[in-house]
Amino acid sequence: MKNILKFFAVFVAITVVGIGCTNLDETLQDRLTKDQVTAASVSDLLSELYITLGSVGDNITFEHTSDDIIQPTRGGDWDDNGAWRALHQHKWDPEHSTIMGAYQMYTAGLFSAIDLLQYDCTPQQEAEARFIRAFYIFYIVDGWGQVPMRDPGSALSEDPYVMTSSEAIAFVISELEAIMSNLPTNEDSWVVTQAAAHALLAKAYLNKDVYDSDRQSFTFSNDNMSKVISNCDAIISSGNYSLESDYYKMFSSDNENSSEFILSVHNIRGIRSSGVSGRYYATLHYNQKPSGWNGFTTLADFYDSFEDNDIRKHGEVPAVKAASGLEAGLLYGQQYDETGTALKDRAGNPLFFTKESPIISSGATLETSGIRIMKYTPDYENTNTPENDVSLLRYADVLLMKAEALLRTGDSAGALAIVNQLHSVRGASQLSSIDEDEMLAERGRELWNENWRRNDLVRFGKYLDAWGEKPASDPKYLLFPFSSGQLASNPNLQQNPGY
Amino acid sequence: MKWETSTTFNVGLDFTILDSRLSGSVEYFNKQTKDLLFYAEAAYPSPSSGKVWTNLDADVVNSGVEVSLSGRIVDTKDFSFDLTANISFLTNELKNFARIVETGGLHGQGMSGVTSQRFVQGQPLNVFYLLVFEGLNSEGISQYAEGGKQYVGDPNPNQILGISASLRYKNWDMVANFNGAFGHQVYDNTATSVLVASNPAKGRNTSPIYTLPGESPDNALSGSTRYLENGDFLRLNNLTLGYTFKKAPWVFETARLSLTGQNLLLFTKYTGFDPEVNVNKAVDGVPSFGIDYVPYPNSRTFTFGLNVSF
Repeated sequence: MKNILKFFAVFVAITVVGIGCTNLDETLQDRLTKDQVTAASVSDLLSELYITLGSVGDNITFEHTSDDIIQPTRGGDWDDNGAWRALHQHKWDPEHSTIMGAYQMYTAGLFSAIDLLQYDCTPQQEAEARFIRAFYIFYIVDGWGQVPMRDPGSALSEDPYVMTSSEAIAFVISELEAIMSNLPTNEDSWVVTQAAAHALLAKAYLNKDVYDSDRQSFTFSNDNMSKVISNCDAIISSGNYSLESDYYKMFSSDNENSSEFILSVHNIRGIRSSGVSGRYYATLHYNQKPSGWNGFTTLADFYDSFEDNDIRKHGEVPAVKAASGLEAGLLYGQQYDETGTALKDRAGNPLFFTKESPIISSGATLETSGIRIMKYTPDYENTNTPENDVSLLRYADVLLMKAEALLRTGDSAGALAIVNQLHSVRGASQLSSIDEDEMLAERGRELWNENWRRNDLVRFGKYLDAWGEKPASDPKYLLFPFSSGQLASNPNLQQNPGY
Repeated sequence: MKWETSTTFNVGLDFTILDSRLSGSVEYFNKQTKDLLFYAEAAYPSPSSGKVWTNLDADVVNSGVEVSLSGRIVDTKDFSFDLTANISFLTNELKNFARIVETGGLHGQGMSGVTSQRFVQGQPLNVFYLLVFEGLNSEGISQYAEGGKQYVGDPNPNQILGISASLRYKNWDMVANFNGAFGHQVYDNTATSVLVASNPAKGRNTSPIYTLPGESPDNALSGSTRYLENGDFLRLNNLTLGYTFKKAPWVFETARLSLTGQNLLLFTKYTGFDPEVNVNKAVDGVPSFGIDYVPYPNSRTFTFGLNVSF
């Protein structure tokens, strides 16, 4: 009996403990509190925030959906259940993992910038963080139209509020104008300067009429275009920037503080490289050096938009050529190694990149179809974590934005003069006239694979057109969709029309 | 955050008839789980993990009927035979689930980021969501039904069966246990990743089961119904044969010899190693179910036993 009582007592005790622990309240330590952050840690957080900008250089979501990059399916390789074909042919659905991933990446960067702003920053630190916040908002409004937002220090359990396309671009502009005087004027290109704010303001004004519309029918207002011009002029007249005579040096491992870089991501060999090695691995064939993934190519029509003497079409970086035989630019035709020996593909055929890049490649050109895109060239001292910095805002883009704004306000002579100034540096022949199509083509030649092509195609009204391997697409594809997970977790967010 | 809440409703009937020779039970159950604890996408902008543990406003409903019968068929001094069988009929469904969560990440050449299962409103947990394979075209390339991926199968069995038979004749006894599951599908990702049509071109083997006649070595792999198979099986899980000495020899008080075999017979049409397999192919911490990916096959073991007491 005694034993039974003892057993019963233990049983009751266990039961009471069991009931006692149904309360899951806990103190959430999900981020630093204000008093844990010192002046020194603000500057560390800001350095981290700059590193997140490397993800803005992502060239997949905003380039594969455009006419300058395509990922052909190569037999068993690169099929991925049609994910790449869906991107290029504008057939994605709201659960497309690449688009979801890009949205998460941009909004995570946005969060880091917002988060930093709750701490005690110096005026310059605050201005840098607000710039980066505006930069993320610009990318999100460009891709998705609506921008979910939180205020600095607000609880994560609150639903983010949502800015419409118009509200978001107006916010970007007012922010950049407000912080301008607190930014430095002359700094390394990986620090936000007044020039970076002017360049992003020029982008914002150039696209404002598009973002204020349904992105199908819009007219460019003279007011916005004159703001583009004045912001570009502020950069040009600073005298701090100039065109590089050696175009491909600007994307090599020897590109630190290029005279064209207005804002760049500072990569350090062996330490961090913001994924820039993927730019060359993705496009190189297995038998090239370094051995690549035999993926991304450009399209024949895009290749043909260049003149042969244009150094942007095809060039070389001497150190790269000496190390591997690899040339720079758009790689068409037979490939060689560093001894000048012609390379072969895995089946023993000549490694000859063909001009055509069918979205489903097959037969003898299964491995070799498509012109390869070698803009950021390998760093042979460390091919996995290279030294190459990534350009986010560049002087040539500023010149072309000014030219476009001049063209859109009827000053085609002024636009032509700027484009010809660029042509003389790039080895291309002088144009006698310029129109919108030529301007779009010029932006493509100068800025291919720098993450602006989708933005440019939308603004020039060409994004839905049929091209190469893509049929004409439905207007809903002008904006990316939101995943069901985002719509479910934020009731303030509405799915974009048509999805 | 709080615990999930489950509400279970059962109705059952137990019976014993024919002088206790036949007994059994029938039970209906319905279990509803609310406030599902889930590692779900946070509302962006959020920290870079992008996920948060939260209670979702969703219900999981498991319901079904369990029937069990147990009979003493023969019962004499020298000979007895008992048979017990139980079978469960199960369904489960995810309700009021406002999001779509992908899981069941597949492996293979050209299969980056390809998933095979979903958590989605109105479907069973881990429903298979795949392209529908329609054979090869004249060039040996896979053709799929229009409209992309579809809900094509359920990894959760509809029936689970257990049978236990025991036989005694004089000093001999024998026990056999069968288990089985029916009405579900298994995705054979071992076949899609290891035994593919492009293998011979690279000097590797494939299997006539997984390479179709005329299939091109350039045929791309896909997450499709081609590799989704019926997972029905019945297994002789355990068979024991024993002999108990009436009068134990030497100094022993009792003695018994036994021979046990496990996993002796498997009845299935599944072409992989074993349909009773579950390799977790979780995506972002969301578990998968019913995917075969290079597992170790179930072993077959034999055990000889001698039990004595002094």
